[in-house]
Amino acid sequence: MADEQQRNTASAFPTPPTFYTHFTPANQEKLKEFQAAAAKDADEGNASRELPDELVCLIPPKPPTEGQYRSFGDTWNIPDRLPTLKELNIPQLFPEPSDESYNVDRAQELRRLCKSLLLNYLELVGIMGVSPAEFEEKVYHLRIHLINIHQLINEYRPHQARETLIAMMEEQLEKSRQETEDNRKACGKIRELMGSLGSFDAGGLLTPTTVTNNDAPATANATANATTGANGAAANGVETKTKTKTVGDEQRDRASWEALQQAGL
Amino acid sequence: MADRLTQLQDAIDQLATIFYCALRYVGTHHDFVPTHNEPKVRDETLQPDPPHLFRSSQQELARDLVLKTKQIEVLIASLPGIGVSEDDQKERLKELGRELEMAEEERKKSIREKEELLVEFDNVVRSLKRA
Repeated sequence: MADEQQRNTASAFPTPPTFYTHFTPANQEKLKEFQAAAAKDADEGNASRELPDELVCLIPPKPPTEGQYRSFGDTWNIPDRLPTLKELNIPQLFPEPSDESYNVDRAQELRRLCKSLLLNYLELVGIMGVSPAEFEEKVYHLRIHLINIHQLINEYRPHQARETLIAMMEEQLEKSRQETEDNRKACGKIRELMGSLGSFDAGGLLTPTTVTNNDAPATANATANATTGANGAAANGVETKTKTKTVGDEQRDRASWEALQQAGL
Repeated sequence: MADRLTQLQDAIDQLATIFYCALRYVGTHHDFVPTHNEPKVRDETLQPDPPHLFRSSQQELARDLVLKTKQIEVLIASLPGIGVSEDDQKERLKELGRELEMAEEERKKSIREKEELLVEFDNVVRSLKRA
């Protein structure tokens, strides 16, 4: 059993644990009842009861808080962090980073390590030509170089993550501002249109009843600027609405829809 | 597309593969040269390439190596946020957070304005009777 579990946690695609069959609706119901009963017992000061075997697995264990655990074929440390090269007993070929100019140094170190890697390879090729049996030391050097480069890159990741976040936020800001700008433009267009509609009103396009009633405001609209024109027109609209009830809803909706399309909305 | 660091890591891994390939090619495709008057050595497990092909393959492998190295250098040079310290980044993040909040407020305001205008405009349109 323990052996099987060991094999299971080490696998990249583990099979479900053996106790998964315990998770039935009936058992879950039982667990609820049991917990209610246990709470009652505790209130009454009775001794706590033992959980039935088939229900034990239904209560998830507490997550581990220290040490390490295995999952999907990997070992994970708690807390999860990148182990340093010293901890892995691998010589570190770059200096410990100082707080200032941290990242400038890192790019420089990466470049140096890459050059050194290439040089080591050249030496290896030379050794292979002269005395192939002595390859081991050079291959070890190459290995150390590659590990060091990867370590540097991985240490760089949090920095890149922050940089990516900054880029994304800048993009979002840009989008948000663009949308505001577009909305304002659309508003301007509507106002303009309503201003021109205001002067249109005076041209006798309104129903005869409203023209006579709204003659004065309509002519005022023709000379007023866009905003007041719009307000006047809106006032017209309220009055007209009450008077032109005979106009079918459908027709009015179609009219407003076409006008809206003209406004580019 | 993968991020820069992953690209760089992949490039390094490819470089290591090229290292191996180059040595292996030379090791398995070379021809033998007789010394003095000895007969030429033969090895049944080796299939030597003709000299001109061997030469051009060698050159191709060497070119690959150099190209990959150059590529790695370019990737290093274009790593994001070089020359920016962690504190700078945090400061910038805070600032961006504030700006985003403000921009969001503005955006909502403009949307409200638009909706109000739309209602107003709808009323105007309804007041018109089509000829």
